[in-house]
Amino acid sequence: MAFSLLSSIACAVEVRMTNLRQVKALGSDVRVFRGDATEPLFGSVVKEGDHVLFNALLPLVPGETYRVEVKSAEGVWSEKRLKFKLTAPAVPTVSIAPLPTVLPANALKLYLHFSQPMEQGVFLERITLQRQDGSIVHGAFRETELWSPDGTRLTLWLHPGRQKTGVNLNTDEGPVLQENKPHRLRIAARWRSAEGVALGKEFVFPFAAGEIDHACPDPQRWKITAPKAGTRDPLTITFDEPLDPAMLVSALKVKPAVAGVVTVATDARSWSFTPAAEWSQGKYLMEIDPLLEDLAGNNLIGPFEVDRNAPPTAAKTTTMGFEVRG
Amino acid sequence: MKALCLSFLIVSTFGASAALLESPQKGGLQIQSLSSLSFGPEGLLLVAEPASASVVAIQTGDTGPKKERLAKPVADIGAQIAAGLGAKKEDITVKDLAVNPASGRIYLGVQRRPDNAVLIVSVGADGKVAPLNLEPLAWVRITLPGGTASKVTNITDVAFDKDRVFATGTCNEEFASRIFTIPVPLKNGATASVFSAETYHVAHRKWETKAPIQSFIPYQSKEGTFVVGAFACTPVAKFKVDDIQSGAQVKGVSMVELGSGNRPLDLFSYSDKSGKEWLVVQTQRFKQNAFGPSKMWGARISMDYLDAKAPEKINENAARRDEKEPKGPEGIEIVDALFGAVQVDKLSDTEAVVLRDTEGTLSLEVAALP
Repeated sequence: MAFSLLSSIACAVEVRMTNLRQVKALGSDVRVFRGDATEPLFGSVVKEGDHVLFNALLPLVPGETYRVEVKSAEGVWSEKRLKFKLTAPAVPTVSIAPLPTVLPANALKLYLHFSQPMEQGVFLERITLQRQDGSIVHGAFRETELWSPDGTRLTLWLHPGRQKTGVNLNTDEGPVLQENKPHRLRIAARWRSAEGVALGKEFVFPFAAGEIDHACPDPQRWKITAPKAGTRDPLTITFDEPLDPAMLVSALKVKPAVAGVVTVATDARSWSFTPAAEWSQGKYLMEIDPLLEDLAGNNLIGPFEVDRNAPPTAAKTTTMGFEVRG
Repeated sequence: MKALCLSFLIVSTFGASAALLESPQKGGLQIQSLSSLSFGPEGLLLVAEPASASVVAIQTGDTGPKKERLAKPVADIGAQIAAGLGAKKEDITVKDLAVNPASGRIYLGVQRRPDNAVLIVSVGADGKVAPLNLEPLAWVRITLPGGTASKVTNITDVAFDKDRVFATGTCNEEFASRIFTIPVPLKNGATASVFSAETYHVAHRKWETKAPIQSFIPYQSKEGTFVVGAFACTPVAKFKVDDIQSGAQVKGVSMVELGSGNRPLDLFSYSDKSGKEWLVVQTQRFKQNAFGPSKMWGARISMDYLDAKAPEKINENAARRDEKEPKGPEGIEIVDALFGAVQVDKLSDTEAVVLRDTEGTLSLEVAALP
C-alpha cells in the first residue's frame, strides 16, 4: 500500500510517519490520537537516540487525521497533526454470479464478487432487495456474513427461514422472492473497500425469480461433450439448470486425474475443463461431489427441504463416464 | 526487580500449562480475523480465526486469582475501544466477549472498519481497556478440515472441554453444519476430527434441515459427552460425540424450541442458589420482541430438558417455549437482565458480563443472574 503525507500543521515539533504503523518524533515521549479522541491509539513507545518511535498495534488509516503529542527533551508537550492518503486508490467495483441471474423462487444464495476486499460488518445496511413494485424486502438476508478468505466474494444468503416452506418466518413474513416476478438487488454507493474507497455509485442488478425448485440436481440430465484425443480441447458439461458457481470450481473431478484448468460459465449452466497436456485416448470418469448444490440448496443427496414422509429423491448417480477417442 | 518478577510469572505460567499446549510457538502471532473467543483452564484463550479456517490457542498468562470483577458499569466502552483502535465508534464491531474464569477479566474480540483489522482487548476491574500483547505469549494454530467442495470459512463457536477443544462451523457455500474436535494438548498442525451434524427443527415439524450450529457448550451427562447447540429459529439440540469416527454424520436430538425468528448469539450454563442447573441462550429476534424493550433477549432453560430422551419429549415432541408468555412451560423463562445484550458470558454462578447496545452506544456491565 503506497501512501503520501497529505498535510501537517506546522510547528516546531519534528514528527513523521516512517511506515503505516510507525510515527517517529524528536523528543523523549510520544502519544498518538485519532482526531480529537481523548484516549490514545494502542501501541508501544521506543526510545531511539534523541527520537521516540510510536509503533501502532494496528496500521494507521488513510484519510484519518492524527494528533501527535510529543514531549521534548526538556519535558514540554506540544502537538502536531498528521494526515495521509493513498497515492493511487483503486475504486472498487462489484459483479453478481450467476449472470444472467435467474433464480428459483426458493433460491438460497447468490454471490457478489468485488474487485478488492471490502469493509465487513455492514452488508445488511449496504444491500437492498427490491420488488417489481419498488417496495423493499425487509429482512431479506441471513444475518451471517460469509466472505471468501481473500475478502472479495460475499456469499449472500436469502433468509433461509423465509425461503423454507412451513417455517414460521416463511408463514408470517412470506418468502423473500416472489415467484415469476422480476427483482432488483441494489448495492449502496457508500460501501467502502478495505482501503476506505467507496464504490462511488450504486450498482443495481436486476434478476428474475422463476418457479420453486425442490428437485435434486441429476447428472443423468446433464450433457457431457468429450474432447478428441491428441487435442487440448475442453471437456464440457452442460447442466439443465444453473448450479452453485462457487462449488462448481472444485466439485467435479476427472478420473484418472488430469492436470488442467476449470472454467465455470458466468450463467453457471456449464462447466469446462481444459487439460494442461493433450488428452490421451481412453475411458474416463467424472466424479461429482454429492454435496454440489443448485441455487435452491438441493444437492445430489437430497433436496434442501426434506420431507421425512416422502420417498427419497437423491440423484441416482454421482459419476459420469466419457470416452476420449482419436 | 519488577522485570525479574514478570519473567518468573511467565515461566511459571508456561510450566503450569504444559499439558494444554505442545511445542507452542512464542511471539510473531498475528490474528487475521476473529469470530469467537472462549477460555479454557489456566488462562488459555481460544480464538476462532475464520479467514484461515483455524483455531488459535493462546496462553495469556492471565491465571488469576479471580479478582478482576468489573467494579462499575462502563457507560460508553465503544468510544474507549474505538480510540485505541484509531476508529470512529460506529466503525468497530465487538465480535465476541469472553470472561476468563481464572481471573474474571473480560476479553473482547474487536474488528475495525474499513480495513477489517482485528484486535483482542481486555477490560480490568477498573473498566480500562487494554490490548492483549501477543508478542510474549505462547500459542498454537490448528487448521480445521474443509468439505470436499469447499473450505471452512465460518467458525461460529469454539469451546474447551477437558481433553479436547470443540468448534462449530460451516463451509462458505454449503448450508450445512459441522462439529470439529481437536485433541488436547493442542499443537501446531494437529488434525481435527470433523462430523457433519444434522438435526430436527421442531418449529418445522416434518422438515429436517442442515442448518448450522450458531453457538454451543460441551455437556457431560451420565449418557456421555454431548455438544449442546442452538440454531437459528431456535431449536436447542444435543449431539453425542463419544465414539464417533471423523467424517461421520451425527444426528442431533432436539429438546427445546425457543420460537421461530430468533438467531442464537451465546450459550452458557450456571447453577442457581438452590443448585439447580440452567442453560442460558442469548438470541436476536427477527422482529420486535413481545416481552421486552429489545430484539436482543435471553432465556434460561432448566438443564433437566437436556437429558430428555423419551420420544414423547424430543424432536417433534420437544418442549416449546410459550411465545405468548414470559415464562413457560416450567423451566423455560425469559431473563430480564439480558434484554439489549449483544454479547454475554458467564462471570460466576450468580452473575454474567453483559455488553449492551443502546442506540449505537455500547456499555459493559455485570448483571445478576436469576
